[in-house]
Amino acid sequence: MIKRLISRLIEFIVVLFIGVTIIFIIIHLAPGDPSLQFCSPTAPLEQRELLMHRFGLDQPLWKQYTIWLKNAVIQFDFGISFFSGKQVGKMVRQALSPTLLLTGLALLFGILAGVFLGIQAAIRQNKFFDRFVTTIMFAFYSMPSFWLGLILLQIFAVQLNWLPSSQLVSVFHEQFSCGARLWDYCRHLILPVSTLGLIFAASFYRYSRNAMLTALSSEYILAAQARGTPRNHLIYRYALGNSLLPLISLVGTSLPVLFSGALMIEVVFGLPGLGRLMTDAVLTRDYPVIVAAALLSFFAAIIGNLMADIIYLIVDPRLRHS
Amino acid sequence: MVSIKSNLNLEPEMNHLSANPILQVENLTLGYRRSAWFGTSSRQQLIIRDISFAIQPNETVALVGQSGVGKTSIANSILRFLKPWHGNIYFLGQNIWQIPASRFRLIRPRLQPIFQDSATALNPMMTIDQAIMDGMKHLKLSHAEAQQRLNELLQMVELEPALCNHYPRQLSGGQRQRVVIARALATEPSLLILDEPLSALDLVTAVQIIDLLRSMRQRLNLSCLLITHDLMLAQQLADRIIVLKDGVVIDSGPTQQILTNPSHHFTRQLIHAAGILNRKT
Repeated sequence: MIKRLISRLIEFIVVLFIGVTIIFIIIHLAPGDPSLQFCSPTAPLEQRELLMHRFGLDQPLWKQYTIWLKNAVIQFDFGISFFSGKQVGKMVRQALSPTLLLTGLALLFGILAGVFLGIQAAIRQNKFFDRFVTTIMFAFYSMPSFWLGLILLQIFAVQLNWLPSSQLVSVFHEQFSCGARLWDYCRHLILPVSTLGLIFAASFYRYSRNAMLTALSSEYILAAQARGTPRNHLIYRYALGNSLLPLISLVGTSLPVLFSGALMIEVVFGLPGLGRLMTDAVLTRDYPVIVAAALLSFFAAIIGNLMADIIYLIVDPRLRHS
Repeated sequence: MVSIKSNLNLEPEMNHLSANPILQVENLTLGYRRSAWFGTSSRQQLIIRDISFAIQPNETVALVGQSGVGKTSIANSILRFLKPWHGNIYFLGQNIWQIPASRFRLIRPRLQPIFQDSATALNPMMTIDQAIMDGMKHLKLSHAEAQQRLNELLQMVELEPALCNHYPRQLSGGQRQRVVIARALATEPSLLILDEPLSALDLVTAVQIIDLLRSMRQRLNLSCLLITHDLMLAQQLADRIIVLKDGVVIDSGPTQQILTNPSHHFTRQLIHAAGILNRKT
């Protein structure tokens, strides 16, 4: 098992290196000129060259890459934003907390609700509950997230005026007591977390229902039933154990969303997260920010897969013995 | 044991047999109902129409017919997985669809299925010893007794004890099928339902499993319901054959009689087809 983990770790480092290189090259080869954000297209060439020199973009790509890699790997320095002039690392860190809060809560809600409802629907296959929940979840699965967000905004923020429509905190947040601040966070997060959580839940629902149905119709379940194994034991020990395994991969591959942020949701609800930071950076050709944000997503994707592998090794006895 | 009703509509050739069969299927009619959207309407499909048969102690009866004729549906109904539309099924004198589930659970281990695909019939997360010992749970044996019984069963089905801590995917098809048989025998059954037990095996392994099933039957005085489309397999294992077509019994009788003197042209077709296949293999 340890050998397996070490080999996965080596693979992880190699993949990360290749991925970072590709991200850096693609972003720098993409059309667009960052200097045009600061001067008019008719500005003198010397002025634009000066800006390019200041950004370090006048050097060959391989040199830009080695400098960036050295700074990023050794000093964790991802450069300075072309647009704001701030440290990219600090900007990403600041944007990371709202994003992690939103996507983490939404993913947790999605997993719990989706898996629970999926299991319950599979147990009641073709009954009213199964058909009703499947229809609702299919609707959520098909809906674009921004559209669902706008509908919830219209109902709960505009019509009913129960919840705030944007931002992570109220204007007077700092003046609130500790409890009131917490409640303020909750009120602001309910709508975006529900929107994203329902979309996640629909995805997990489909997976867990199908996996559970496959497990429940397996002959080993029928054979256990024929031996007189109690129903709850059949469902929660035999079927659930086997059907939840593929979900580990799904959760692992969902991890990058935690970092890349739910771009549309952050835009719709005006949250200052990583998704919005990345959108702004793309629009302004802010290369250091784009590379850092993309790198974070890429890192999360690999970590997610690695964690899924490790969890597989822990929970699946077949892999431990192979 | 509660004795079953004596006034049953038995097949003619069974009237001379024991009055206390292990299994008695009486006027069984089976089908599927599929309700449409939110249960507003339903479609019905009749599978089996009014069939009756019985299995005596230490007897093997083969249900033979084409794929999709409803043989497995009968097995599912006997195992109380599929509720009949009409008719009764008596196992060890109990009307299994009339008694409460809690009472049926007590006799359930005496009625064991062996499915065709051993790869899916074993829990992939359980080792071989866990799978077999799982079948003994209701016997409430001590750990030492369970271990001893496990060793006996492994010996009976000719499996190496070294395979105990293996997972199903680490075994060959034949070894897996032996585990499935051992697990079924672990419950000390009175009746085995063999649902196409050899269809996923190669010829050599199939012959070995046939020998194993034969010897098990003799050693343990087991009754078996063999479900197969293969008349040659029925010839090897069964005392009597029941031929099904379009949901009804078209031919039934002792194996030799069915094979040498079939009364229905469909049975003759099956024998002819089996003969051709046999020559080819």
